[in-house]
Amino acid sequence: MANILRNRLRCAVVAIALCSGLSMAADGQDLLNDTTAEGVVARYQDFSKYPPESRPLHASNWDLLNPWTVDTAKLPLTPASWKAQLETLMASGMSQADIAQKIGAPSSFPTYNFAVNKLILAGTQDALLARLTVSPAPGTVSLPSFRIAKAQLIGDSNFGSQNLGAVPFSCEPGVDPVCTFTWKALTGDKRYWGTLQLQVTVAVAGKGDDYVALLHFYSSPMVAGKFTGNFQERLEAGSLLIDASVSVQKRMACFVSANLYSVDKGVPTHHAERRMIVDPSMNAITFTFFGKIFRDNGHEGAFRLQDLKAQCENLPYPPEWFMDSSAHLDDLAKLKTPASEEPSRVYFEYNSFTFTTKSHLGSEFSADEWQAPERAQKLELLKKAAQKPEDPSMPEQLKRLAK
Amino acid sequence: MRTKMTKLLLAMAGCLMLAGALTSTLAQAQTVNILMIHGRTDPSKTNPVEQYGVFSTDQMNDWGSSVPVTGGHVYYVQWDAWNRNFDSTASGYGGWYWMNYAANNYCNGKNGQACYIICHSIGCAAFENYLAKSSYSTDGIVIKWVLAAESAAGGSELADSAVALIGQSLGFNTNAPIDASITTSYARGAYNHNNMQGVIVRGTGGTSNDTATEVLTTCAYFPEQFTLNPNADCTTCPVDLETSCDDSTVALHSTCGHNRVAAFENCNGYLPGTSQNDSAGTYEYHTYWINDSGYKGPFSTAGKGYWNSSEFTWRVDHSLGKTLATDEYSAAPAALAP
Repeated sequence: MANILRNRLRCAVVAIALCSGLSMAADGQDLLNDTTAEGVVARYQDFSKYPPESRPLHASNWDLLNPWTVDTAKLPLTPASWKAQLETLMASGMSQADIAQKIGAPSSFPTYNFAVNKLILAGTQDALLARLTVSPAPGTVSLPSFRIAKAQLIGDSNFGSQNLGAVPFSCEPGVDPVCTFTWKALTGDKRYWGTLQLQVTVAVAGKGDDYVALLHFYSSPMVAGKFTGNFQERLEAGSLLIDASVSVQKRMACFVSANLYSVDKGVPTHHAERRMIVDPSMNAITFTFFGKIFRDNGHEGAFRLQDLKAQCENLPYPPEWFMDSSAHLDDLAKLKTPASEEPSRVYFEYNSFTFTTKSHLGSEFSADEWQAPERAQKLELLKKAAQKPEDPSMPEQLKRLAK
Repeated sequence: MRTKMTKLLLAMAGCLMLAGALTSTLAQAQTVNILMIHGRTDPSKTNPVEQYGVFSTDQMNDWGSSVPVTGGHVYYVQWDAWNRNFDSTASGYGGWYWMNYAANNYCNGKNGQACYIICHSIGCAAFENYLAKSSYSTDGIVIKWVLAAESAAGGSELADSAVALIGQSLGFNTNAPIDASITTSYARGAYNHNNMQGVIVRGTGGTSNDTATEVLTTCAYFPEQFTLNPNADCTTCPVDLETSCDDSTVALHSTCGHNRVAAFENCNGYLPGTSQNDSAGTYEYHTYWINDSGYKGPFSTAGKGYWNSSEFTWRVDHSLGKTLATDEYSAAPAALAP
């Protein structure tokens, strides 16, 4: 009985504390940055005012605006013998300081960088352009003359990291040597699939050793399908819907995405991303650009669809098991897993299609929040989860001891 | 004035209703589970070798002696973070497989469960990948928040270089198959890092790359910049006076959830609808531990010693970030970390 009374008292105290938090958050802003259980509910409510498949897009979303690439880092141009020695010495347990003393530290090596057009290739028509520049070692001004001894492509480790052959390149003459490497998959063969490595061996004048520059990228020479470049727009329930025609080759679980820009303002407005099973019977994939996002940001006029992309999961089981994984936990557990795997992703063929809509008035779009049964159900679950833990007296007591 | 008074009255009425609701729902208690997700680890470092699954003990001693203090239940999600990629769907082994299994069996709101996630390094990529690809809006999973300790979700330049240094700070002196998925291009290209389903990921970004012991990674691999206002805890490279902000294994661009691979001096936040709106580029729903509207960390004694309050970074290296995360969970108020 004493415990029950104590818990009720504690509960009342917690309630008062919660209330002070709620009143503090009367304008809504604070509660959205509140990690307590009540904040979790408020934030999901705010998040789900737009559907998960149609989100606002801003100029700061660099990654979403550049869906096929990632920034490349400047790295030390490593002597081939140094890398081999490093691995031997590290495996022997030698400290970094001792290794540096013995074979030198990479901070004293020249550096290299690859400027690339993209780091994900999709299909056999999609090409990598990688422009290699080499810079003097930090603190030095002169770069010894060098030449490209060889450029090779190394395959995915799941297929034994095979040497896939020479990569063509050309170098621009000049004081600062710059060389451009080009590659695309010749066929849809699996050996061109997965994480590939462009391995460039650089011979430096006056040095007996070769140096190695690396670039990793992902290649999906076989495709799950393609966009065909035909589009149709319509308004439905105050949102803009665009049907993108597709030709699907394989039934797969995919994340199909596209960006929308305001033509008049020249700014991004929406990122649509569908989690779906694509199937050869499909003729089109519909992207929804949610009405309230137009209204909340004052977007109207004509809009441009671009950056169409479909990334599909390479699964050794039916795509339904991935899509509704909670219903297939037992099925997944019973699967026999091979020692090695295939690469995880297959894409639709790369495209540069764009589609410009007709001009729309802002009033054509709905200002209503997303209203779907799943939203209400999720909020209900989160509200339940905001209730007390099993033994509400335990955490504070334990935590006081911990402090 | 009238509006303020109305708001106050409404708030008070709401308080009374909430207090009543709380006292009447004691019987509907929830189960709080804390999932600990390790990073790159060699399954053969122990005898017997690592068992994969969800366990109440840390078989691999991945988290050291540091265990979160909680009134809930602590579980260790053990996955093959050596031979399989973080996004591997391989049954019984892969990152996605075990994250999916753990979420469905331990974070199921329909069964009265709710989860708090503490992840480390590439374990954070494994969880984020699961979350981004999940049907969170329609399933019954309840994730309260994620504490990402030294997250490698943005990849590491050490993996880009394919040198064995990638796991050195964790005591693994060899390359591993998983390293191919820790490259910056793979880690960032595998899933939509913004799509955290409204769940906040709070990261600890470590800046301790000790030149005395980590000579090989210092000022060599991670992005550097020259700035007149450097983060005093980052490494100033002696030759060019540029600063490198990393934890010896991963740079701040990854640990802080920045959406570009570049040199950063600090952590920021991007929480839609709040004043944390990093225009310099942070993935949505990512921010730092912790500048909650109600709770300002750090909470632990050790954490207070590591915290850089102007840059929102921590004076820890890649390995120490694990201890920091569990210490902070333990010392945080129960309303925040029960």
